[in-house]
Amino acid sequence: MVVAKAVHRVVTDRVISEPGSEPKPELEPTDDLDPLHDLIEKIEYALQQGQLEKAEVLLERALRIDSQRAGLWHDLAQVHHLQGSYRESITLAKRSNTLSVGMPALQEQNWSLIAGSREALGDHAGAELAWGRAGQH
Amino acid sequence: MSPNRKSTSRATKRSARRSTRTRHSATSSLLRRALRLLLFTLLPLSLFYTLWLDFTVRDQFEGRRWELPARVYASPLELYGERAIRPDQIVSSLQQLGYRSRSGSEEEGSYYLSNNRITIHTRPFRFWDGVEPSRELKLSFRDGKISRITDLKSGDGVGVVRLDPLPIGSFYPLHGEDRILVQLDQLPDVLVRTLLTVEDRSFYDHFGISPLGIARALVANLRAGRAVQGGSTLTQQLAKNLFLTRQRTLWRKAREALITLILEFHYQKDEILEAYINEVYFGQDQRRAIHGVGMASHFFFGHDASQLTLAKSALLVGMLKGPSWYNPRKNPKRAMERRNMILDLMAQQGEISESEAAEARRTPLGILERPPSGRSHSPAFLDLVRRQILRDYAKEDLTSEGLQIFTTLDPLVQSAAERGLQQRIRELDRSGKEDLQGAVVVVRPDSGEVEAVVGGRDPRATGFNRAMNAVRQIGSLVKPALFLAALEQPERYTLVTKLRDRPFEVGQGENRWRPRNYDMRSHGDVPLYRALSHSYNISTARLGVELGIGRVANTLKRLGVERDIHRYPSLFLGALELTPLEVAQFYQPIAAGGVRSPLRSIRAVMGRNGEPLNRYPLRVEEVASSKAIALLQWGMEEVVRSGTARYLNTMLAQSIRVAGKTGTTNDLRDSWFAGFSGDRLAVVWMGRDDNKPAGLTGSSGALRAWGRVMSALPLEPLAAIYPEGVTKSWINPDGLKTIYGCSDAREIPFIEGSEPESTVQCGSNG
Repeated sequence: MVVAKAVHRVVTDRVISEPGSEPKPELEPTDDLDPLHDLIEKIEYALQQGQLEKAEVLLERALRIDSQRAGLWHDLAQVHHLQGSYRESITLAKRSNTLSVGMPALQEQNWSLIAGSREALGDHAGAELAWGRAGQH
Repeated sequence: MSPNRKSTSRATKRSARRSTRTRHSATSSLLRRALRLLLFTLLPLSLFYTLWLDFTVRDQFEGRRWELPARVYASPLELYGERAIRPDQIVSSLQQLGYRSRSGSEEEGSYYLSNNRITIHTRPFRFWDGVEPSRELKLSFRDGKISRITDLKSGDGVGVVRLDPLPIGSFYPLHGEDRILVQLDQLPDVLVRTLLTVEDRSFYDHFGISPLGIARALVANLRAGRAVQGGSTLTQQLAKNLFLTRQRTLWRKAREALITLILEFHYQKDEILEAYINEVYFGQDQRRAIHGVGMASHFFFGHDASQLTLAKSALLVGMLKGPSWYNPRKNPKRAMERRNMILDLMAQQGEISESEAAEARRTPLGILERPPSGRSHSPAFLDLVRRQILRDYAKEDLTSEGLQIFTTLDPLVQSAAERGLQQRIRELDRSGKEDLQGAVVVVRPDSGEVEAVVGGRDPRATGFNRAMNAVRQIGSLVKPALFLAALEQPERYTLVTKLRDRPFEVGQGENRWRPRNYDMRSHGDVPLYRALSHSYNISTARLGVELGIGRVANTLKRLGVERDIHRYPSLFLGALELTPLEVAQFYQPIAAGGVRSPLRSIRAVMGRNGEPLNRYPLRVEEVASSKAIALLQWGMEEVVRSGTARYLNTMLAQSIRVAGKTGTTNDLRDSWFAGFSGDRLAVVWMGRDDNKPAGLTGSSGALRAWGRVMSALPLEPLAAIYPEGVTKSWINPDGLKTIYGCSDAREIPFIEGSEPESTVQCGSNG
């Protein structure tokens, strides 16, 4: 559930911040080109293919370039969730939440991820709370 | 003579003859027996020896032929649009990598700077996570940032490019041989042809030993009246280099011949040639021996062997006759003559045309003026790498397995850290301070990656590494742990809770402890944040007593302090000894919102053939409440805004919000500053190795070095966003909540529910 929802999420914050809008056509290379565009495409592809370690490496590299991007932290949280590192997944999703002010869709996904990870850790009460938070967004 | 005597004499002669005959027959039988013995023992012995030699040669040739040092690389320079970096910083990084400035060059590893634009022809590089291809790029700049990267071939914009990483050191085997293995098919054909023309023309035709070659050498030597030409084939030279000593004995010659035949019997010519190319000796770089064409190419020209031209190939092959005599750095004229002679020979032999030879002869030697040093530029960082890698690898693996270690060192940050510390120490030297030392550690808080380590005032010195080994009292650097322990209890403490800064005592008799403030005064009731920002000892010690030593020690442990903590009240004021690196670990979760990431210097390790072996991914663990950390960060910002670190406001741009804490120990022995921006945490220590008073406070020593380091780097300000559950209220000097925007009030963060309930008007004192 969490995973299925998250895997198909588009990683760029640009898209996340505009829920419901159509994905933009690929931009002509201009000075405004998102430097992480190519890396993010590779991350999405790796996630779709289930290549978690590859996605993790690319995400860490992208975060070295822009550590303020909430979407990247969310994706890393998701990778950790899929790898079974639930505590780390929760911590990373929370970090993503701190950076995702004004991005309700991303916050919802972070709370869903936190709920899923808490569930997996046997923290059912905590998971309930997180599901509740996910629903608020 | 009497007949008797005659007969006696005859008898004697007969007997003598008989005995001689007997002796002869005894001798010949002995000889026969000896021969038989020789035949039956020596033959098997020599057979056995040959078999043993065969086994040894094959074992070494097929197994781990060479001990290869581990090579350590810095983090690659990532280039992308909007990156804050100046053209001169990129040029300096390119020069460190051995790129040459050349306009319109087709050559990989070259760049050209003009009109605020840089064109770069990058080198390809195999990273542990994939190959970065060679590209021709144009970088444009605007407002101190890269504004656009264009691929010159396609004309398209480029997102992120990483350059090949800077080698920062190696872990050498004891014999000091350094080499980069190359494969025959990676080498330019011209190099191989030059080598064979000069060293062994009939290499592909002989069986290891070339009678024709020997005869040719003999004639040449006789004519010259001295040894001018060797008759050894490449296989013989390889046998000698790989398996034998330099002695010139008949026995060694015999062994050489035997090994040569064994090599030729078992291996293809190309395998032998490849081994030769990787083995040959090209000279000495202090204690490091340069072996193989791959290493020589980097050492002399700064590029891969695959890029060797005709002229460069001739220069290298020419050196084989006498690596020191024909060393192009020491004896450029001699090396040039030898190179040109080889080019003539190539033309005579029809390997190249006259015009090719003439053109190559006109080419300058093209060697790097300064060789890439085998000594590490950052020995202190390399120490950290060694310590961390030895958790997963044996010591011998480091010096023999040819590991490629990709680290987190950022050369731009490292050089800023070295310069910052050196400049401050020089200033203090001039003001009469003696024997000052220092250390710096710079870390990325959100990942725990260590970007720079400086182990002393001379960053190239390989001696005592203070960043990792100077265990010193941390003084007031301990205080954030106390304040965090308090702020994690919002029902008891907020940033404006009044603390009593009036003298008090703990314990009795010898154990009596009476803390004093640095200014020897007491300050009455002070808000908690001011006790932190002004580093008041009395109020902090009182807070510690209220919290309890167990809670404080526990907070320190959670934050990452691994040493034993002595549970005395003096802990509250910093009676705790740590190294600068340990302080960086302790401050990392404070700078990262309460999330601890173990400090790491290695990202990944690759095997000698480029296979990924280990990766060291990001690890995170929540160790403190993010809300309490947000409040603590605000308090530590206050240290810079108006407290003991306010001097930083003269060094850093106002827009860069940073937070930190000064530390000074008894009798001014240690001067500390630990502080962070949104993306970097740096810890600086200054003091003396003999632990005598250095005459510096945290503010007058380490703080200013920290300011120099950080002001030289692009910084992200601390985030202005507070985590959920933190709210801000306007608070007046009496600690009362006021209405919005009162001139005598300021906005202070609270954990929701802990802010004062009632609100007063502006100017009210309650």
